[in-house]
Amino acid sequence: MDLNKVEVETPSLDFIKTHLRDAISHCSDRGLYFAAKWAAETLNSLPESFIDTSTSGSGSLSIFSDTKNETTTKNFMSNFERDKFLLAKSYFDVKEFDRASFILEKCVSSKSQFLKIYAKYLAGEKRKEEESNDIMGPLDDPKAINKELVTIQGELEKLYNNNEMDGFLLYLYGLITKQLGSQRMAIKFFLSSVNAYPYNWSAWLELSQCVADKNQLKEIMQELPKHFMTKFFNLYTSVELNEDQNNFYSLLSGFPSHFNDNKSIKTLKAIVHYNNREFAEAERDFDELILSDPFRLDDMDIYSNVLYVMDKKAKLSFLAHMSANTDKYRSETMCIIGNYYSLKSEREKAISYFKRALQVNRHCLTAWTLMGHEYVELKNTHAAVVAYKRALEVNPNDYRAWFGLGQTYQFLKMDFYAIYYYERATVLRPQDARMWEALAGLYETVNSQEKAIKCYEHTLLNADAEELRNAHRFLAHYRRDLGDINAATSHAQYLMNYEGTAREEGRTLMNDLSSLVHDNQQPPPSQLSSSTLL
Amino acid sequence: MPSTPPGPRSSRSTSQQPDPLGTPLYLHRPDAYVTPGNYTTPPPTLKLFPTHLKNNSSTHASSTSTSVRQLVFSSPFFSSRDSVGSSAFSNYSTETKTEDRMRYWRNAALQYHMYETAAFWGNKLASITGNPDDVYWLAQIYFMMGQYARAHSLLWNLLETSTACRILAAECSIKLEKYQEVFDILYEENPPEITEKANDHLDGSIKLEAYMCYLRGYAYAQQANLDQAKKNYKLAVVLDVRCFEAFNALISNHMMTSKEEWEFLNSLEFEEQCGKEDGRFIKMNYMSMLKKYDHVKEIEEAREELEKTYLLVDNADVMLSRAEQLYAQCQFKDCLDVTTKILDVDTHNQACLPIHIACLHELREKNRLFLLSHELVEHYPDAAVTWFSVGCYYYLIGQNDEARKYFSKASTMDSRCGAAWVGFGHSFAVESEHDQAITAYSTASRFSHLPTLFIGMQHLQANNFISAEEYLFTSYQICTGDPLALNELGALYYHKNQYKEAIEYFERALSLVVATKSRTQVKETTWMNLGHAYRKTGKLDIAESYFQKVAAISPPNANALSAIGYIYHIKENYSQAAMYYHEALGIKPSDLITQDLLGKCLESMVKSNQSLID
Repeated sequence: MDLNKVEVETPSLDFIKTHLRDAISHCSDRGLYFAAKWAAETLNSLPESFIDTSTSGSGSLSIFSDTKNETTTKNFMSNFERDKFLLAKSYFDVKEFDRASFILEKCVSSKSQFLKIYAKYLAGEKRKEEESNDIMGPLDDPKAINKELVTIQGELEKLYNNNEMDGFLLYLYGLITKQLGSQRMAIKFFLSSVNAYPYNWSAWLELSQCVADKNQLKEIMQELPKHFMTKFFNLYTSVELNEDQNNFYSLLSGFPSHFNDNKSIKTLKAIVHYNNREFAEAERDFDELILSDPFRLDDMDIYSNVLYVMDKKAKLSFLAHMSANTDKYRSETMCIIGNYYSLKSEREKAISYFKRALQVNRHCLTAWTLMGHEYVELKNTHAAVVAYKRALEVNPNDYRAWFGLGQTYQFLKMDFYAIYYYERATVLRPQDARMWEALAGLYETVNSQEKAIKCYEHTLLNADAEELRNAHRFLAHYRRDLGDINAATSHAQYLMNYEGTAREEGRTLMNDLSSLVHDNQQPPPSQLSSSTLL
Repeated sequence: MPSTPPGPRSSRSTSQQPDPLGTPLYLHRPDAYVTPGNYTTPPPTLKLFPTHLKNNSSTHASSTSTSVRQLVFSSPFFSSRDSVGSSAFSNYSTETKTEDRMRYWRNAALQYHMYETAAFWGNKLASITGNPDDVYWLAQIYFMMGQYARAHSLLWNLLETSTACRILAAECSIKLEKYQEVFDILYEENPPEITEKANDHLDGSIKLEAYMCYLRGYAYAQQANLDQAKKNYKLAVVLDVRCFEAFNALISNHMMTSKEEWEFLNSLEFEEQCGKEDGRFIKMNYMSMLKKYDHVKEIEEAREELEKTYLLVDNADVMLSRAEQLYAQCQFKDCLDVTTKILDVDTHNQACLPIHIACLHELREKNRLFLLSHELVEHYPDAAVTWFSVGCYYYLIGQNDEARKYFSKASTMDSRCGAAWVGFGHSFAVESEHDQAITAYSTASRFSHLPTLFIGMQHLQANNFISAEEYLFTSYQICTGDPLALNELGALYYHKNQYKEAIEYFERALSLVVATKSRTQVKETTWMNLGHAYRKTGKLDIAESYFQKVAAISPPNANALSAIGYIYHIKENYSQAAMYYHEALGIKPSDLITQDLLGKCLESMVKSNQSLID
């Protein structure tokens, strides 16, 4: 049979259009993105027909029943615009962002505007990544900017001034403003966005990253909507800002019981344990998470930190292999493997893995910080400083990076710098004694005795054995030098509770002090110290 | 005072018949080559010739030759030979004399650019009749063939006969580059009997006296006597406002300052010469061509009127006027959009190209500039603007040697292409070779106030304050509305430690920048300068506010952040200062000054018992 002679009825234009429209959604629902793209392109190449001018839309309505909270009238799309939107979305799904943005040039509905601007933004980000692709190499450019930002901001400003922004566009505006450096305005926009549409977790996340400290959090508290999403936000932010554990648990109790099995809350609990150095509990929590979700990779890099600190090589190796099996090319996997090599003291390899993690995700905080630690171990102070500083650019609230910087500068004997960095660390975590002790040591070096005393007193509040001993010893000496015999005595008594040299010291100090009381004299400090340290 | 000759005029008017094919056809052509008079009157029939050949008075010959010119040069607008024949040659068959028929052959050949044919018949005619008219036409044919010397020698004996012959002879001399002869032919200035009220031609063509002035001006310009050239051009326009050649020469060669241009334009008698409506039309057109630094509002209104009332929205010249305004306001992106549109409508519009190239350069569009330059070289290798474009491309990618080569080539080709000289100067300035830059700029300084400004900037960079002041002031006086000049003057005073004057100039520059709605980048520089000046005079808070404005713009400016840090440092707010220094160092880690300041700040912080804790 000659195929050319087969009579095929030419279907009508409307018939073709309707079916192609359906095809787009059917294919993309099933993940067949190229098929969807073809269907969309064909649909858009057809001439206009009657169906385009009619306002009732056929085809799957689910995409077009838009968010109900929007107050603008711009969420209505004409048929013609809807076809363009479908085409743009299909390009977006295959990551052709410039094309998506170009197709939507003339569209006016909120959804189209969002997609257009977001696609342009992502295109710029992609180009930015491509330009600065060398981590810590000669081409590394931390301040490579997304060139589309300025044009996008202009467009968004126009929309904002016309009050045409829905929750999503406000989120986008906040994102752009944050990237352009103006955090305060960004916070304002994010607040408007979550108030307009509270279910966009990305907006909440960005808001939490913009909030720099507890005071700012208090300021914006009133402006947050009374919504269950706000509870999540508060929980997340309390972890981010290293707030007190009790605060976290009290917030947690305020959650309705539906959320008991919520994985993200469980993860946050595990992270809180880790931050408070309760490693065993953290390990337990993470194990539970992996059991219920064996292919999960989110936050596994933090689990690897826990295992690293606990020195559990075998388990860390197991975790590394498991994640590499799931996805070799994610930044979390690379961080885990880096931690493993670091534990085995193969520093070079560890650094290379951290670099790879960063190539995948430039904003991976753990990778930068851990890389800094590795460079310190290798005594490459310059690189360590750069790595820590990049970590701080990603998240200025990372106390580990500040502490690392302080240590590096202390090693470089640049004391004033070190003091500044340690101070920043202590501001973030006042309950952590290690930092106070380090700070006190530095103040001693620069002969700022009073400050040193204050720092040691802070240490006393939270320290463990080792630190307590040093603190007491130091305080005893200084109090005695300053003439405060009673305080010195009490510190010396604490010292006696330990064993070894500390006890000896304590005893000699007590003797000295009692003699002082009897003599009622203030012996010059230098003489006494040389005699006591027999 | 020449009277309007009764003979030709009346007979011509009676023979005018509305040609059914004539009037609408001009509308089919997209570009406006039609000069005002041609399309309204159909070409007069050749019957006119026999009656006036023997008449030797200058006015008669001029009117004849004008009518002939009309015949020949209006007929190309008729696409079919039949329409030509229908009106102009309808009498061919009835002509009895061979000579008259030969005239037909000659003119027809000329119309279709078959010069050899036309010369052949014209030659015979001139020999047969010895009529000055025929000789004149032969000379025209030789002129159009490019054989200027032949034409010149032919006309030499006819100079006394008519003004038209004089004009043609002068044109030949110009082409032969014998400029002094031009003056001999056309007199040094207009003789007293030809005053402003030269005879008006009803057919709408431009007065010959105006042409004479234009040619004189051109000759003076070629001899580099720019004052006389200017005078003559002005006179040409005054005599006849439709003499666009002269007006264009004045404007595009920047022969007058903004103020002079404006006064000149207002002094022209549009209405008297052309009637109310036409006069307004011409005035609007000319106004849209003036310099866009002053009287921006009036020029904008003129342009809008042209667009709306006269429907010239898509016209290349009107769009060019808009592009020039955007360029003067430094809004390069919008300017580029307009110039791209112009070039779509009218490929390689010569007037638009320099601005287009400059915008591409400002926006760093290497790719497009590359393609454009190649196209230009292919099609217009003899135009100065082509090599200017190539030079700009090399300048953009940083190959200054190549750039210089091409800029100098452009300036050799057209010694009045100021842009090429400026480009030349910039290529030196970028490499900090101040002296050579200054030399290049001074050649360009005849053409606009900008090169003087650049010279001043060079002197300032070389720390020659006195010369800098001189040049900057000169450029400022030429154009009081340029914020760049004011900025540079402010910088000059800053370096001389006269901070109050510096602040004054910066403030003025800022107000101008705001008024002309320029880009933020221009505001940024002025704000930075103001900030530094205020800081030096001790008003730290005001200084800080300006620096904050700069820092709020993206991309974040390391210098601004560092400056803010420094202010906090002076105010002894060490923690804030340290924060800003860190941010500045994050952007530009190699900044030694900031590193130094940071060290000092941290030290002071510890020593002064200021700390972040407690």
